[in-house]
Amino acid sequence: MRRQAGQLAFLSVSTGTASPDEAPQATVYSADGTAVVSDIKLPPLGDDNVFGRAWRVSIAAGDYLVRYLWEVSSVEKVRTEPLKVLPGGDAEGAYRNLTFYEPPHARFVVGQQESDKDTFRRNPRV
Amino acid sequence: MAHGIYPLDHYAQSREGLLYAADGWSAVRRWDGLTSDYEEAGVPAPENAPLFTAHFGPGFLTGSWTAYARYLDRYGNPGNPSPASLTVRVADISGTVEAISNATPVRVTSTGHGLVSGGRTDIPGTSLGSKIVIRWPDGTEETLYYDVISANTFDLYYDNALTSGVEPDDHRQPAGQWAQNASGFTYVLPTNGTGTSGNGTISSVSQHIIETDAPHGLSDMGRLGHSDGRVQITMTGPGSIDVVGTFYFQVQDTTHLRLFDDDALTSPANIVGVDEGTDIWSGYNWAEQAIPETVERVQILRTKSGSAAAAYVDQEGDRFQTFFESALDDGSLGESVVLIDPFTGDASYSQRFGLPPKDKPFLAAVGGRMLAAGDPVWTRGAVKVTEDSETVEGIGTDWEGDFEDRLLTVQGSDRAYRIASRSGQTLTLTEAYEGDSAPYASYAISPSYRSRRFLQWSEAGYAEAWYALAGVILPADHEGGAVTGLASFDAAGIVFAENRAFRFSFVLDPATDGSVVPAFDRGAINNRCHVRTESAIYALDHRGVYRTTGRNSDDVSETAQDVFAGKHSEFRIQWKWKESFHACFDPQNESILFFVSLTGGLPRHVLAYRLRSGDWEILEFPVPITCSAVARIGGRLRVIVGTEHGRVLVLDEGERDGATEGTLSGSVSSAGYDWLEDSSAAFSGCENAPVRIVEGQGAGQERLIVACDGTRLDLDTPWNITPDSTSRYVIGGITWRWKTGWYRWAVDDTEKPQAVALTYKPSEVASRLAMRLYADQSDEPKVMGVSRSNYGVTTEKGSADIVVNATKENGYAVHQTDRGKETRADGWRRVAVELVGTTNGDEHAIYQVDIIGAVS
Repeated sequence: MRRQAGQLAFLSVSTGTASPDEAPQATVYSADGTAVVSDIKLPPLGDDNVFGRAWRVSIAAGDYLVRYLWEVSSVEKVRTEPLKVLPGGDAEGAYRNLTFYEPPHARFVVGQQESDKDTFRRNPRV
Repeated sequence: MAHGIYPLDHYAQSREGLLYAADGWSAVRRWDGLTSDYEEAGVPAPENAPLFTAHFGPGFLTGSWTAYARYLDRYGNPGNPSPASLTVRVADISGTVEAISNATPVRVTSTGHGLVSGGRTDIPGTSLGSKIVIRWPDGTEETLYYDVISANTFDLYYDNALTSGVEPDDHRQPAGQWAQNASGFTYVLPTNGTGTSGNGTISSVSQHIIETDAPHGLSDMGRLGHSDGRVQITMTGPGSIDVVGTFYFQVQDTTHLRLFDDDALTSPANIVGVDEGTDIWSGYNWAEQAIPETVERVQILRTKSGSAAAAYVDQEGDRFQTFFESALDDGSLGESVVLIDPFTGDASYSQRFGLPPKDKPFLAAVGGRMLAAGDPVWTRGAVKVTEDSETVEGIGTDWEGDFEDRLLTVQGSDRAYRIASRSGQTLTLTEAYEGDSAPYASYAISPSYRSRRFLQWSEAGYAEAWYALAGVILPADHEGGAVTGLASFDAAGIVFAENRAFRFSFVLDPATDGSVVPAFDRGAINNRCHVRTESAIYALDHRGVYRTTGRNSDDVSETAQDVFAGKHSEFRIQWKWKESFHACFDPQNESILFFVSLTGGLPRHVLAYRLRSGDWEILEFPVPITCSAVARIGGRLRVIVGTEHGRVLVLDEGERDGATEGTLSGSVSSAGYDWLEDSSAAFSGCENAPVRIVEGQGAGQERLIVACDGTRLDLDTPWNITPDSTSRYVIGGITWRWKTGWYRWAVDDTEKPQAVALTYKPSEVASRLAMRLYADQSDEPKVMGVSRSNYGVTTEKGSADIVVNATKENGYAVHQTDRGKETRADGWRRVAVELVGTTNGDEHAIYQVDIIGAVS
């Protein structure tokens, strides 16, 4: 996977034919083996033992490894996947919604980003 | 509205011009353009009632009053009133001065006056003494002291020691009125187990505690044995202030009881405020633990004597004021607040200034009111449930907002559970889960049954004042689907469902003259896919796009129906992503733009409906376009769109996407897995812009730039074909594509020329412009069989592109095809022409396409 900060990375794993005891968890490790994001729980995506979710990237640019961990009948199972976080991006993510607001004293572009951050851009110009 | 992506803010503006944002999961927020952030809309009710205070002295004011407090925000919007205060009653023990003597001290004749020599003695520990107030015929009032002479006469003095007699005076003639009020506290014990009751006298009162003058005989355990476990305080007798209240109690000792408003003994009763021995209230004490920041003013309301139907503004102060002095009589009170519905007697009528509903995501201003609709459902992720446990754990749920009172339904369970609270990704139910334990189960969190399909409205003129009962249930309509949006048009509210629309209209009061009726059998995909113009609403539903004025619908997407129906060879709407679709009116091009997903993922395509011609066009963007709006920029209304990385873009501005400085086109020196280098370039500020290979190896590939530095560009995804030194690139070029319909080559046995000619505006700088030919309904363009370059075009064997020299001075290029064939010979019969281009800083203008030798 290659993503920039603020983009959604889809973390998913198939547990094969066996249903796991609990929902699998994903942990993101940096190149030096440090867990930078832990215990991202993955819900099922259907009935075929595929688990996953979208995760908004909020870590620095670099190379990472995503480790998926689950248990089947108390036996631990692991899968890994590389994740490259590219430079650039915006950790607040994409805009969810926009509106234009024009009270008497100014003009505003009001928006909401995926991180829930609200922005109020005053007197917009090109 | 299934919640598949996120709680999305939906915007509306009130009649007053304030901006509101609602998502259906948390408090509605308001912004006025002045504060640094949103504020929660609505004005909450104070938790505590004001307390009457009194001064020590007699007076003429008599009656029975109840007080309330309410907040005002800085716009003057009121909230609901607080709980009612204790009712204060001041009994009338005034009399008429029938005659007055002409001696000092003056002697008053007032038959059966009832005054007690030396003042009342029936109030333990306190007494007014012989104080009295006289109102003389000229209107002046004097507080004096009396000495009872007989049952019908008393003398008046200036001092309590009765040494300085009041002398006769003209203004004291010929008669007047007198009044004396005193007070006392008594209590009535709750009925005990034997059915008897008791009472006694209260000797003192502190904030929550009463002291009795004799052992009260109650115990905490005894409280449980009583039928209601309450103690009632009453101030009785003529000339007294009556504080009537019913409280729960906790025994402090044999003569002290701590009083509470609730049986759980968690809310101490505020009973202070009427001091012993006082008789006339003179103001209010009021204190609140935590006053919301949005509160600017506090109003004290009180009823008029003997009436509970309405309260009136008595005093107003700032949010920090704790004492409100008042001496207003009933006739001098201000604005009224109706407490009881005059038609139905409903006491909840006083709650008309409640907070905006948290569970309605869609708002629209209609007729001076705000409407709210929608039934949000949260289904993201899964839940872990445990049999016999009230705790539910979320897995990838991303829960946020207020879930209290909503219903949780878990796959496999045969009933819904009410949610008591949420903490992070954990829910607490009001009762234990009865189904089988499941480590990861699908679920839905939905509104309570009573609020589903409930269209609510605010009070007239108050966008933030909502009465919980003010609303109407939309007609049951299984085929119509869930409520997906709300709009205002032509003084009515249009409620969109998936496949239906309802029209809600009213004249004065929706409660009495409002009506909601099914309007037409079209709906809206979501609340961002209906667009209002001056004359109509255009909306997208599963069947396509239609136009409505609120009463019927006209389909406008017949010519593009293949795209909506999934029958188009190339473009099919990916309905799975419908929650991310959005639309806006493009006033500059007089078009309605529907941003949809045609290839999966977030919207990158626009279905553009040209209002004047009725034509449809498909536009494509290099990045996802996640939202859109129309903004006034530079004095013109322009379409703005939101995208990744917190960027807001303006459509139809400039000739490049996302790049304006540094080197913007050139030749590749070298390239690797996910980068390219141009040794002669000076790249700068082109992050997030697209770079496209327009010539040479790898032509046609486009990537987004994630980093640029000097001579090197780093890209978001690797090349499929790595460019080399034959490759030319353009940064921020606008790529476009246009295709004709199908034409038939003329049927003729003679040799006639067959060619495609292009007339265009020459570009000032090199850019990519090419033609492609399609034969006989093929989805793939014809591949050129020879390499040649003449008449302004270049073909390369094996490539489908007929590359046009965009800078050719005469702006004319022609590609000659195979010669004509005999009528019966095999060969291609029908032709379509596609033009593709990538600009390089100036526009591409195509004046004419001639398919020479073809007929329509």
